[in-house]
Formats: sequence, C-alpha cells, structure tokens
Amino acid sequence: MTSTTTRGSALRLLLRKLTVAIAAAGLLGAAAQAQAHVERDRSTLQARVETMRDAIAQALPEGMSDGRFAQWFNWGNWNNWNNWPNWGNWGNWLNHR
Amino acid sequence: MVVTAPVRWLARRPPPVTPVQAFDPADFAPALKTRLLILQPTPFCNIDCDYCYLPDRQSTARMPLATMRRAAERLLADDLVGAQLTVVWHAGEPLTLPVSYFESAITTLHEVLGARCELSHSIQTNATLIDDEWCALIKRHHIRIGVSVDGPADLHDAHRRTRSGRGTHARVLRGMACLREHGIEFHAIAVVTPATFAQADAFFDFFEAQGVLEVGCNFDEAEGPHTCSSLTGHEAGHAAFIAQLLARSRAPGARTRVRELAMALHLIAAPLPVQRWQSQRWPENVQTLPFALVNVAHNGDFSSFSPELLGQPSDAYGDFVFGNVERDGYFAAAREERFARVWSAIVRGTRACEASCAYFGYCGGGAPANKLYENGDLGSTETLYCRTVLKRPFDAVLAQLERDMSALALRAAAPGRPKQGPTLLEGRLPYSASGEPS
Repeated sequence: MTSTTTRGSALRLLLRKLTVAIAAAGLLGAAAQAQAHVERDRSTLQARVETMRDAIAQALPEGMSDGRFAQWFNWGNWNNWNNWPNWGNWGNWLNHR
Repeated sequence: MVVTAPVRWLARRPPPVTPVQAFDPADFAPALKTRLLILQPTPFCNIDCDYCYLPDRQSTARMPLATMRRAAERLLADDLVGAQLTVVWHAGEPLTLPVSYFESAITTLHEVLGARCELSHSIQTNATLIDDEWCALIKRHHIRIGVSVDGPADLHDAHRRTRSGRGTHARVLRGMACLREHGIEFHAIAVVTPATFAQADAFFDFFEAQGVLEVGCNFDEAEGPHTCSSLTGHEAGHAAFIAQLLARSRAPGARTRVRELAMALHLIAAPLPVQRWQSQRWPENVQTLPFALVNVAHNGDFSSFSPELLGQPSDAYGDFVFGNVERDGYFAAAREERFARVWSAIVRGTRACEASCAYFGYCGGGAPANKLYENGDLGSTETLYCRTVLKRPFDAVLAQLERDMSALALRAAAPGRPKQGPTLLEGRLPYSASGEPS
C-alpha cells in the first residue's frame, strides 16, 4: 500500500513537473515569437524612416531646416521649425488640461 | 517521501523587486541640464474642469519669492543650468495672481539666472483673466503664452466650467481676442475626448479662426484623481481624427499646425539626440531623464520626471516629492532612497520599452506618469498615451510622406523627362541650392 502511494505521488510529481516544463517552454516560445515580431517591426519602421531621411539629405541643401523639407513637400505652413526649442520629442511639455 | 506541489513553490517566490539604481550625475553624458523649470505659483484655479488632475486647486496659497529664488539657486549649485532655460508657470491658474507678482518673480529669476543662460518664460493659462494689463506684461517680458481651450463651445463647455457649473468658453474667447488685439501670438492646447473625434473639422476650423498657430492635442488621459480616460475603447476614432487633422493642416492655406503631427515630422526628419547613462545609450526623453524637468510646487516641494506626478499620492512612491528647495539640493535629494525607487522603476520601464517597442528610437521610453496611472507600474511599457500622442501621429505622417515622395518620383519619371531615373533631387524645384525659394 505504502509502495503504491509513493509511486502514485512520484507519478503526480512527475506529471506536475512536466506540465510546468511544457508551460514554461510555451511561455518562452511565445516570448521569443513576440520579440521576433518587435524586431521585425523595428527594422521595417527604421528602414522607412531612413529612406525618408536619405530623401531629405538628397533633396535639400545641407543645413536646410526640416521646415523647408515640409515646404518642399508642399505641406501648408509647416515652416516655422526654427522657432522650436530643441527639447526633443516630449519637450514641448505643456500637459495642462 | 514529501511531495511538494510546484504551484506552492511558485507561490512562495517573493514578488519581483526593483533593483535600486543609485543616482550619480557623473553617470550621464552629456551632463544633465534642466530644460524646463516648472513652477507652480499657486495651486488655485478660478475654474473647475472635470478632468483636472490637480487635487488642491481650491487652495489660494502662493509661492514666496524667496522660494523661487532658492529653486533657481539650487539649479546653479548643481550645475544644471545650460545655455537655455525655460520657466513654465503652470499647475493652477497663474493669472489668478496679480501682475505685480509676476513682475517681481521674473525680476527675481533674472537676477539669479539671467547672466548664466538665455532665460525665457511660458505661461499656460485658461485665458479667462487676460486683460490689457496682462498683455502689457506678456509683451514686456516676451512671455510665451499657451491657452487651454478645447475647441468649439459645446466641446469646451462640456468640461471646462466654473465651480457653479457655467461654461467658460465665452470668457476664453474674450481673452484670446485681447491677445490678438495686442499682437501677441499664442499656441493652444486642447483636451481631446471622443466627442472631439466626431467634430474634427469644426475643431480645426475653430483654431484656424482664432489665429492659433499651433494646437496641442492632450488626448484625455487617466492621471491622478482623474482615474479613467474617456478614450478607452475609442481608438479607431482616434486614428480617423489624426488622419483628418493631417489632411487639414497640410492643405494649402492652412495656418494652424497640430503639435503631435509636427513632432512626428520632426522625429522623422532628424534623429533624437542620444543620452548616455552608464552603459546605456537611449534617445533623449525629458520625462525619463533626471532633472531635465524640474517641478517645484508653491511650497518648495520638488520633483522631476513627468510633472503631473508631483504631489500625487502613491503607495509605492509616496507623493513623488524628492525634497524641498528650502533645505535640499536637487542632486543631494536624488541620492536618497525615495528618488532611487522612482529612478529604478523608470530605468526598468525604459529598458522594457527598448526591448518591446518598435518606436523606442523615436521616443526613448514614454511617459512615466501615464505608465503609472494606466498600467499601475512606472516600470511598465505601452500606454494609450503612447498610441495617441506618438505612434499613430508618427504612422500617419510617415505614410503621408511616402505617398508624397512616390508622387514626386512619378512626376520626375513622367514621359519626356531625361532617362536618368527618378531621383528626389529632381523634385527640388521650389528652392535653389542656397535654400532660398527659386
């Protein structure tokens, strides 16, 4: 009886370990897949942006502001970039409601 | 034989602990410099917007001149002053204080900082109190003015009301008219809700008609006591709204720019500066970079990172007050444990963004306040704020540029053109090599 109980417990333990191992492998696989998606999206986006920056470099005389770039594309009155302080992307922080 | 269930073993593991990152200004290159000194002259506001995140806006306390002097002196003491510094008067309605207060305040700050940097001032106001006297002060000191207005009256008055519940739109219009009469240019920021999505054209037309050069869209965020964004579940509407604003703002004759779209163009046109911290190289983000923003409350309490964190209660981080300018230096306070806890979580969040987000190179780690209030963790990753402010505007602008570039290439390749391949140089028609219009 004791021997049967011990074998049963060992079997349950083995099954639990296997379940955990399979779940962990699944999670790791999902994480790797998600990371691959991110890397693919990052590369694609970077390539598109670099293409655009190359276009800027080709098309505009050196030192021309990106405001001129906007004008070159005939984007309305997007030309007062030079008035922008260089505060980076979040710099114009005025989050007042 | 003792059988231990694996689930019990998992349950016994301690919760993840954020390793504490000790702060050392020497770890940063280029050296840390403050871009915005955000001062709260008073927490009081004369109106009572229903989405406001400020908890004590009925308090009429004001910042003593000695406190703001100390706030400025502390910047100098820690060598945080670079070539340019902007003081933003914010977090409450600054114009509820007398004009004479600002005369003295500006004089005080120029005494301390004027010789060390190019010092400028910005006021964010609901414009309900603007009159000739204020306009004279604004012109005298070249103060940059931002008006908080949500667009047409129905959108605005739905949220921006007096304490007795009356709309404030008419008073804001009078304030903006006064600014125009004095020849003062101003920008606007608008809280955008799903109701705004349904009126994209009316929204844009309003700012055009008001002569607003730039409007910033503050997409309704969950922050502080305002615990839920009305935009949750309305993101398809957001995408359509962004597309319409882009179409309107780049149309011939349009004068108003949309801040989020303009920022996207800026990010596409040129890379962000790189900030190094220890072995990391991250695109610069002033909301995650220590002391790029220094936020000082009326009583001298100070914080950094996302300004809306200052004074907000949090189980994990206290009230985000790192010290008080009357007794603490900025860097000295940053060596304390409460700063380290916040900084460690922000580092963890920045690393997680770097690993998980394709837009990291154009952002540098998002907005800590939004991570906290939307995801419950300063160290988390994507928020609704990321999608509304950065990702969708970025996608919309990039896609439009690509369409325009294709059109230029097609024009260049049109029959009769020399067969040297359609290069973008052929599109350089509006300008001569000197950069002047040809």
